[in-house]
Amino acid sequence: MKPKSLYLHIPFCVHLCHYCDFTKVFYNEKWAKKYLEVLIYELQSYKIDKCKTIFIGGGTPSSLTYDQLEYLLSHLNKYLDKDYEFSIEVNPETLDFDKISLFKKYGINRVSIGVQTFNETVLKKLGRYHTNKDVKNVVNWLNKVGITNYSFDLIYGLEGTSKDDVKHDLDMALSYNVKHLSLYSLIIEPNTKFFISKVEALNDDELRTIYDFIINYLYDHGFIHYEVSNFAIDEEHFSKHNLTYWQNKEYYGIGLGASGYINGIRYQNTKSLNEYFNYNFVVHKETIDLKNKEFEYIMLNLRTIYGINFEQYNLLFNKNFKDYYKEEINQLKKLNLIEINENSLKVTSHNLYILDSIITEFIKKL
Amino acid sequence: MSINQKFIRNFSIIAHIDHGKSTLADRILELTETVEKREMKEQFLDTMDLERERGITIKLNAIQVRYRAEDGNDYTFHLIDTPGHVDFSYEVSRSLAACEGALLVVDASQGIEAQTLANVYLALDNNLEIVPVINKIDLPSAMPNKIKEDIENIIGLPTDHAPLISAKRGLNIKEVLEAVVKYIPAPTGDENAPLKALIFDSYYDAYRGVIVFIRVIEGKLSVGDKIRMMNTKTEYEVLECGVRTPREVKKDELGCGEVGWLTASIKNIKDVQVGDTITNAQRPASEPLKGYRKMNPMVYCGIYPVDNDKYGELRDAIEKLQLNDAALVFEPETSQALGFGFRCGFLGLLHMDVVQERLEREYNLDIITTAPSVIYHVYLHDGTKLILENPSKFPSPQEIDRIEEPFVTVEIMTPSDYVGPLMELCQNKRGIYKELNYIDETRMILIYEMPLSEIIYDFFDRLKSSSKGYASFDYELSGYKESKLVKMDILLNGEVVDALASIVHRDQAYHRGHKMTVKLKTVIPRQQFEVPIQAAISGKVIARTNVKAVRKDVLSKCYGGDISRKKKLLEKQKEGKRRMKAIGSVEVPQEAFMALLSTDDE
Repeated sequence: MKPKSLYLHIPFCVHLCHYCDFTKVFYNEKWAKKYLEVLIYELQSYKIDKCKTIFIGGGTPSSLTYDQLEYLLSHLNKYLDKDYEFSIEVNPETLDFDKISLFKKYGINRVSIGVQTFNETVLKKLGRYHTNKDVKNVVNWLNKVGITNYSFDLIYGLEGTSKDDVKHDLDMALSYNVKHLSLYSLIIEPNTKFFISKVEALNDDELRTIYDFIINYLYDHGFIHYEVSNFAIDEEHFSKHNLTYWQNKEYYGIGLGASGYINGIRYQNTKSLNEYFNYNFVVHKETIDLKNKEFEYIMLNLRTIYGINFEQYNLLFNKNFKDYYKEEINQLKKLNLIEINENSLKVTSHNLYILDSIITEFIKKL
Repeated sequence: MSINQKFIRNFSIIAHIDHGKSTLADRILELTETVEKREMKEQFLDTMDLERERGITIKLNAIQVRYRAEDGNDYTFHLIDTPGHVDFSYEVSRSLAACEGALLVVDASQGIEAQTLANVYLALDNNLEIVPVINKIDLPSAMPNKIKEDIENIIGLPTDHAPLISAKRGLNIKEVLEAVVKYIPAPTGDENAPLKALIFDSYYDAYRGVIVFIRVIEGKLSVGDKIRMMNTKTEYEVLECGVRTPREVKKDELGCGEVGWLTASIKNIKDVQVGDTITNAQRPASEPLKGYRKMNPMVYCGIYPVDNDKYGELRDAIEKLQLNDAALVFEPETSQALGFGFRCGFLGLLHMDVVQERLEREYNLDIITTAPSVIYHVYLHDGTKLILENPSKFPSPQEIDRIEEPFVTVEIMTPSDYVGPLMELCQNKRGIYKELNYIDETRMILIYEMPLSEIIYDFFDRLKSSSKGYASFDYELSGYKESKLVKMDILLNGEVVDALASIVHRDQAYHRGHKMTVKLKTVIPRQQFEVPIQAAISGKVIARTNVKAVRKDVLSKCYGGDISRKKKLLEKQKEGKRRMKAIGSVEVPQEAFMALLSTDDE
């Protein structure tokens, strides 16, 4: 079966954030134009059927001009299945009402906004250039054109911040009637401005206190904690595209530095713009054998509220999960780290923060 | 055909670690064109990688070198290598016994150190003619005249003829060779007497059995001879004999005064004890050569496979090592915490280190070693005497009347500036002050009697840090003495871990218990639950810490492209877990079992 999900990467950014280590390049009109042409070429080189989800990520997709956006979106419309989810990532300062109207015109029905925080001092430290007013405008325009499924990305854990800062951010977000929230703890990655200038994140104990607070606070406000860092008001508003990844399903990945998973093969695109412009897209391919597939299946599915479905697992890997991992399950259960019922096993909400140690318990047997 | 003894010179090189022994040996081989330059690997005599890396010589080797001297005669040199560490002092003494002389190599900037002295005394004990050689004279910090003066004052050796060389640069090496001809006596054994050959080394060859290195002291040895080891009382027939140049050269016989090897289809290295005398079984000598001693292990530790399924592989590996290492002893033991493994005995700490590293490196085994222990004599109230080298096997305190532990005499050589801190160190290590002597105006020898267990426990590093690296030391067993000793248990998550038990002095128990629990807290990673670590004596807890439960261990962002990265991270975590030992439900890394050794005592 062909993948039903499509990811497109737009690497351009107007500013580089101090914590970001994704594939990105400074926006340049000539390059952007050329890039989109090559991107569409790459897209058409795959025989893609209609998709249930399309996600345009970055970089900053909204840094493209109106015309460029229209060029891109006009090529995507035909891939939309009925009952689709079509998302785009945006930065508040790069948008105007016209671009948002364009989203609506071409069927985008979910917008993920890089808010990060409502504390403008912290925003500056993060290397972000928008203001709270920009966020307000974007939300107003979205509501005006009728895109009500929007999500905020928030970041927490910069040195010098506290639980109170996070509470303020959550209160502000809730006041905008968001249906979905992603909350990421700051990680200082090598090759970022933060790393070089020795900026630090809070320690693990402090981060955990904040994480526990977030879960409880959002629970009180009716949100479902459906993935390690993701919350939604109901199942309707879970990110269906991202669930593709977390449920180990296949997807197309198009664009600079993108990766995809097609027909049992994971592949990685080049991160060099020059190579990409020479139509050299894929730089690495790996056939995922059954053992690796099981590794990935466990690692990914445990991130979600759905956890591991025994029937599906047993069928895929031809063994009985509950029998095979009997000891591990007993130990983890004793420590209240997992919940198990007749059909599935999942990690309890707060303990998703030590997910890697739990995953390791299982995969050490592989 | 045998060589005329007049033209044979048998000698060793004595030097402190890093003073250039192996480099000089290389230069000698080069100059005599025994080994062609293109074949030279640096430091030819050290054949094991481990030796090369650590700059120490573990296995002995003997090489025949031909040299045409200035007097026009062709001489045959036998250069006998000696190990350079105190653990192997008996082996050193036997290889010295195979010589008539020794080159004493002293670093022109460092001067004489404790171990050099120890080996010099061994050489003097064996009546060797000692030729001092001052090395590294090319260094800016070289003080050859000062060093010569020291040698005369401290050892009492004349240095008029001492060659001043740089082995590294090949400077004045010929002078060394001439000094060997002139000052080292030729062998003088009676070639018609019954055979007496000294065994000074051996190693195991999978195809030919044990290869025995010998020095023919009297008589001669021929292929086909029936030989007898006089101490182990075993007999064999010589199948092959010869010399090393360093390539193996087979000969029909080894004459009086010669140094070489023999094979006799010997399957068990225990039959070939260093220091034993080989004689002719048909025409035996009346008595063996003097100086034979059976080597006894001084230090013991448990060695376990991390993965219990590897027990068989570990046994095979230790057995193979033992083929080459007559001093290594082992027997199976079981630990509740670690499963099946072996209790192994070693000559000393370096010997223990070398064996551990070879198991890991050459046999690719993941092993856990427990903290080393000495051999205790435990007397019970009912008069029974127990000899115990495993702390976890100690009887309950109620049954014990008294415990004796081994003491050693420690000689520390140090610049006088550091005597204060070093005495304090020795005092903290339960040392009993014996003597303090000046060697010259700046250096002193400090002598203490001290429990061997205290030397095992972090002594070397602290000696070095108390003296900015300048002090060196040497030790010798002096006997057993009663001490107030108690067994300290360590509990993880409420369970006693037998492999972490140790014997400590009662007055130091609280301190050690505290240090140990704090150290374990730093090496045991956070687990999914809080883990209490306790130290206890006779069931009474004397120290406690906790390893807090892990609070965050997740990659918070995981989307399409991130999967491979996350996978790598988890693979690494999985690998780390594989290396840990699950004790109950607590995962303990290998280092934890050595934690006792590395606690920083303040």
